[in-house]
Amino acid sequence: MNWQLFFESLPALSRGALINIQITLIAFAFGLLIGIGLALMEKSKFLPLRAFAVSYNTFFRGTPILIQIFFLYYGLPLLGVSLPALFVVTSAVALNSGAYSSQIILTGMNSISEEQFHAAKVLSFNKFQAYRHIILPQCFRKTIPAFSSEVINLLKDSSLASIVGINEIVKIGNLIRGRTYETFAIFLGISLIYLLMTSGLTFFTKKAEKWSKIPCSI
Amino acid sequence: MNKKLLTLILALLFCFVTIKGYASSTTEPTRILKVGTNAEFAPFSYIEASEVKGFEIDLAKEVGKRLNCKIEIMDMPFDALVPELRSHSVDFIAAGMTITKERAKVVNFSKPYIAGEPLVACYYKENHSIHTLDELKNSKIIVNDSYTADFYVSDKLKLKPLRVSSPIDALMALKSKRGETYILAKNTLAPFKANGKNDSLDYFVLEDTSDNCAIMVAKGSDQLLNEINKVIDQLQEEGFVEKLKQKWGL
Repeated sequence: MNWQLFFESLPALSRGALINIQITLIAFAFGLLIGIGLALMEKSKFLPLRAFAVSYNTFFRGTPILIQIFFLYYGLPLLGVSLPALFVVTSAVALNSGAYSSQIILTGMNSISEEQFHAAKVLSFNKFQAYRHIILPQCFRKTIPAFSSEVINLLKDSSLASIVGINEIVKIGNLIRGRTYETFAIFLGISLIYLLMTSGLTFFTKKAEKWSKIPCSI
Repeated sequence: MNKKLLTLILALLFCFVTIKGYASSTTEPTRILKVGTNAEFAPFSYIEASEVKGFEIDLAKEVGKRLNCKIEIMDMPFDALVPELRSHSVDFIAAGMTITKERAKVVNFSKPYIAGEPLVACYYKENHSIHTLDELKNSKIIVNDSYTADFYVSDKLKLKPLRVSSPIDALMALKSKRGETYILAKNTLAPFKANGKNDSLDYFVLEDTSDNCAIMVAKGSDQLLNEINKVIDQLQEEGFVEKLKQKWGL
């Protein structure tokens, strides 16, 4: 185990990790918006919307994200559309996250009893207001743990950026490995930085759970 | 109680002795040499009809025959080759590895058997053409992670290339105009240009980049290295290497 290399490589690996964090945060934010939209579509009574949401989920959850990135990065330029690598990866991860988030939100929505919709109607809330003020806030409280795993998954997915030549943490690790042939020092560094990032995430989600808890509830 | 314990220990000892005796009686008399290779690298080492073939594989098999050993070919990712060798999971590497300073620090190289393997810069004719190093430096370059070309472009020319993991990915990147030139070893390009394929792919040779290819052996395995070197000398003298080069079009 080459400890000197381990310590020397930490700054470069951390700089790479910033790109992973960037991809994860942007993709999660857009994924959440897409997820809410899809969940509402799947609940809708209008068939084409339901059909769209179901086929979107089938496609994005059913095909490997690696191959989606390949198509976007290498395939689209042949049709004349050349998007930057970082944009391609972030959008692929966001589109995928949308599909998974929609399922988490649906689970949350389904756990809220039908009576609350009726109660909202009685209080003369329209459908949008009922979702905005009554259903979705409760839904988010219930789904915080599930979303915390989703963000951790995204953080790991973001390393797929390495296949299109983005110098994120795993790519930088591979480049150092290719020059020094010290595999374990580098992999230990990557694992530790990942562990640090995911522990941070877990810490904040625990805080969020506490903060969003209904006072005096059990 | 003590008696029971004693019986148990004796019984266990008996088991070990018998297992050991049984095991030693069934081991094969011949030595097995595990050979690491990366079969994405025609004509050196590649997969055809789910079998690993190529110049390096023929050479490794011949080395095994001369050393009276059984050869076991193990296909693995390119970047796993050196680590596997260093952890002694394989005995030697035959994968068209060029001798570089970085690699020589951590493994030992045998005597070279292919010399003068230059790097080339290839590009699509319809996109543009490149004839000088300056033109090359001003273009967006694609290389493969940790290949000799990557060391050349990143460390010697101090440029920032687009790094992808295999030659097929790199050619795809070239086709979809993610880069203008793709730098690689001339022999690696050969199969992609064979039989009039990829006619629109043109290249020019980068001078002073020829390196030698050799078998890699772990540091400390001096006996094996000496044996392999002796065989390579023999094969060179008998013209076997030359015949093999002709067979694979090198």
